[in-house]
Amino acid sequence: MKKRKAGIGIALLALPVLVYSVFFIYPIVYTVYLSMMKWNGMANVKKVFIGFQNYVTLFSQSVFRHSLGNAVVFMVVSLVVIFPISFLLALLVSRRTKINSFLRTAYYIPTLLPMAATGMMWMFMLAYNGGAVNEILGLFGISPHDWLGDTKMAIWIVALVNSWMYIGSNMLIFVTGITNVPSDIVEAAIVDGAGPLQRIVHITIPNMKETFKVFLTSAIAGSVKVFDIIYVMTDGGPGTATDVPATLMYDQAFLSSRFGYASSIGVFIIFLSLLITFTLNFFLDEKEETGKRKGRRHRGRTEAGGRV
Amino acid sequence: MNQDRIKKVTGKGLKVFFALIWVGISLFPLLFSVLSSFKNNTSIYAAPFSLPERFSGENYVYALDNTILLRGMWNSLVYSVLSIALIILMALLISYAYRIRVKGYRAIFLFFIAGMALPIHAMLVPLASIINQLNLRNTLIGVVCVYAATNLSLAVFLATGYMKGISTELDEAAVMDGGGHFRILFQILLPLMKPVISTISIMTFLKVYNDLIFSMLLINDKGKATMSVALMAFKSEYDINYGGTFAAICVSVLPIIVVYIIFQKQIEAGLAAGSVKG
Repeated sequence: MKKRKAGIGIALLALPVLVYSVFFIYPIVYTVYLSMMKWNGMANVKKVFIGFQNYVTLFSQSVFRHSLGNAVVFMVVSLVVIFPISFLLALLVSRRTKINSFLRTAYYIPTLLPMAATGMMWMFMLAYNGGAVNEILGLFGISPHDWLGDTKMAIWIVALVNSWMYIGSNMLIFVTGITNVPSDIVEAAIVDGAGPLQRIVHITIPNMKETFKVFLTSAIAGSVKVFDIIYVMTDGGPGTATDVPATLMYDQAFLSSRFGYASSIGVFIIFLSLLITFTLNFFLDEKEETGKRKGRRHRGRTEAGGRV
Repeated sequence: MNQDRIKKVTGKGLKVFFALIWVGISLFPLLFSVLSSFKNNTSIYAAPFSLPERFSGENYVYALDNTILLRGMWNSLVYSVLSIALIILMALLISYAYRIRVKGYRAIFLFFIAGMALPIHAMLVPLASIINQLNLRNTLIGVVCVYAATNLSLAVFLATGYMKGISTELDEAAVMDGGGHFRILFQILLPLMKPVISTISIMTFLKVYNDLIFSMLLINDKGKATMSVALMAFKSEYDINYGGTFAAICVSVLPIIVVYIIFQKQIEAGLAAGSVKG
């Protein structure tokens, strides 16, 4: 019996393990190896082991430190723009009505669009000459500005376009969180005479900790990995003003043929995003989480059907 | 009493106002693109918000005449469909292995969902050289395997969770009837898993159809590029034909909008399920 199980295990898992390892896990591990080499990416050129030299170079480069600063801009914009707007929208449309379903559809569309299309649309709309944004601001008497050509402003503008895309998906995540708040607590609050605002502050928000945790983790870890939107809209420019770690990595490898050095940026991206994920999970998992775990052990039998 | 009513009405008014403003902000770029796609460069510059003087399809002819865009959309569609098939096959196999508790099933499960936390961008550099070594550059199998591997984790997470909810009595009955594992998986469990399979399909479609980076990395044959790469080619043309480029944007976005309108429920379900464990 046991032997047969091992046989079926191999039969079931051979293909997935092969595909997933060769095309995802192995390259990740290989990045770590490459990050300690000096290599120009040519198959017939030998890789030279240089230890941590790539990392030393990395941190001494102001371009890299600047790219980290740009990742921080994405974090800040997620927290002060994406978070409040998507939460407010979620509160507005969380009840299941026909109109809300239409509104949700409209809000969600930006998230679905291909990044290439979104980036290009906004690029043209932000153009100095005849761009829609300057035209609209002109109606309010604001003089035109070269939004993406301004070294100081460009990164903020791209981060705002990025939040335009992701407000929709975060709204849906918050809607799920709001609908998961147990309705008996909400009803009890209504009976106690709590107004809508009080219910939001005292019932909805405290009961959505898990959802907020998911938002924080994905928003902050996501900021380290930004690539597409920058590549499409500014390609790191003007100069290197809007470079983020991932665009630097791409340019170093595929334009400058510094594969080892680029890999060290890749490793740093993995390291940073895992660090953020684990740290946030660690600090945001409060006592309630341990309580939950204990509870799970107790009702072990009912758990099988418990998860939807 | 009266004051309460005033408060209520202004509250409601504010809500409606905010809700509508955001509809405008969400849809404006798309509407602007559609509008501009019917205009020529001069009228886009001169009067960006006016309706086109006459609705001519000239720009669409420009966007489609150069077949690269349609070609890219077709390629993206082919890559998506094949990746979806491979992902669903693999996710079913893995979740069945979890279900029958093969040796080390917990560790195996963790191994396969680890990808949800790993940033794909971090492996781009070696991936390019691995693909070259395996002679898979510009090949269908290379791209599809990369898409399948990088999008597998969420699918495994969703499929395993869903399969847990299906009673194992069904399997036992099938074993009594003399059914093997693959028969149980594909003839009994597969039909029951249609909802989660459709969710996985949609989520994968959106990821693969919109992909830019892997296409840039793994394909340099223009005829095999994805929609996003094809679209970017319009941007880099020396003298940008804005109207034509807007037309290309509209064409490229159309399938996504259609898919969303048809599969709205599955998309929202997939997003909600995926967010349970970021």
